[in-house]
Amino acid sequence: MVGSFGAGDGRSDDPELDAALTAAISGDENGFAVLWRALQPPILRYLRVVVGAAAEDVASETWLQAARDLPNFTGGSTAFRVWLFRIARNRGMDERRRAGRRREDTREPYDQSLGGLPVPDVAADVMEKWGTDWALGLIATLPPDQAEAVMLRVVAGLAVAQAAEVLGKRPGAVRVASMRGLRQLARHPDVRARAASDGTTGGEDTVDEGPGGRTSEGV
Amino acid sequence: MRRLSDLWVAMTTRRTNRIDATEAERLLAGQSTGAGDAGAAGVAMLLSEASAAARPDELIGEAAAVEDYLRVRSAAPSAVDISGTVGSIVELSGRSPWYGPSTARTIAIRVALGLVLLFAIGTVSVHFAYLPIRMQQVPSASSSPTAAPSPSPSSPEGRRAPGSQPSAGALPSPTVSTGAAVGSNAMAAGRSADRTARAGDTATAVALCRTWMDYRQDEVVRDDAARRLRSLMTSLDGPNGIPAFCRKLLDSPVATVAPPTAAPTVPPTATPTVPPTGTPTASPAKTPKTPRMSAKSSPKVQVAVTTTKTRKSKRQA
Repeated sequence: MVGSFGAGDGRSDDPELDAALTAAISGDENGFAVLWRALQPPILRYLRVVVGAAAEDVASETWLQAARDLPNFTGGSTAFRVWLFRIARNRGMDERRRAGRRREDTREPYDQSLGGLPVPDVAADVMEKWGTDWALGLIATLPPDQAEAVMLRVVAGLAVAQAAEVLGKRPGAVRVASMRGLRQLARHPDVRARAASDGTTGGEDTVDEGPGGRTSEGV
Repeated sequence: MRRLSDLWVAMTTRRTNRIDATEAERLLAGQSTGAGDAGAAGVAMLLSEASAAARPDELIGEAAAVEDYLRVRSAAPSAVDISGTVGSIVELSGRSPWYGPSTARTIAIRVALGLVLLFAIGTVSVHFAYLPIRMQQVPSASSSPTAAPSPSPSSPEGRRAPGSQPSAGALPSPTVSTGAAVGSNAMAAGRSADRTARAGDTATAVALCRTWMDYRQDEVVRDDAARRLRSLMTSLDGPNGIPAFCRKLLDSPVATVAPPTAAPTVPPTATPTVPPTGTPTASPAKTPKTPRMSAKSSPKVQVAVTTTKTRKSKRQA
């Protein structure tokens, strides 16, 4: 069910990306291009939740910083992914501070109108309603710490410890934030409607009938 | 019975808003579809959409990114590495930096300039640290001439029998000249001249007078010259007779004949009020009213006259 970005638990290195990383460190632009194609989409989606409309600019700054510091980097593809998302987060924080000074207001940076993401609309086309932008828009409505934890775990494909390293928090805090974020998403009407439109669920609650099996409500 | 049944249902009902930690981890890892739970199922679908395959519009900009990569790699190593190292250190430390890439470069440049400035200050300080030592090794122009002992009347160089003509070998013959010099060197040169037994009382007197006239503002040099003159010209009555004596001596033809010797050294603070030629252009501040000696003749002339009178008296006798 989870897309290619979240494949695996993020704890194991990708051989293909390892080779590309080695080449990029040595100055091979082809290796850098492989890294970019693999990680630019998750970087971009993560930044869309963090900074909204400035995601592309901040992503460019992230890669520029990474290219400049790449000769000094040591580690595998997983460590590089952690390192890259840490750069992205820091650049995102800088952008949020700059945006805050420009706007001089207290609006939440995760405001969907500022992020340029379409507000989930049940009357919209099915493809647009249930697409990636819809998902990111809903995640962006979460509190910042929950949204980042979910994005790093799902979109970036990082394990709990790796996500904690990016966020500068303890793994337990990241685990709790992720769980709370999922719970809040599960209560969202659009999320439940999505499941209902797909015909996945059988009702509001599922009753355990005990050792004999499950029975649906109303029996 | 019905109430027990309802109670049992209530106790075993799984609420969709109670995604526990285990289910959350399974959903995040993509290992749960949330089947049977609308909320969980919806979350599973949402997470799947969020991590879906890359879209074409998300891969726009690859060429620009590669170009930036090549430009950065071909940039100056020092500038790039400094700012990059600063940024990478902060990035790897896990802390969110308060500055951006451009600010890191500015910091690196400022640090480099500060190091250059410190090096320059240190170099200058070391240079000047040696200056006092070097200056100490050079005879200080401001050093007091009194540091060098001057020949006193009781010293072998300066002792003479009262009324006796100083012999050529014992007469002090200070090396004086019309140029500016340190006073201590003048006295040292004078002592040296004494030891070498310079000849010519007139030349000596002329030189001493020139010294006295040139440096009469400098007490030490002036007194030394005066002392030598008195030792040379015993008829001089104290220091008061020296101004008039020297003025007449230097105005006389004898002064033009007697060549000046080595230049005495005088302190830089001494400002001779006469040109180096030795010709006094200004009268001394204090002019004695009744000099013992004749204003019209020099001691040497008086001696000659005395001799002549003596011979006449002998004839008459």
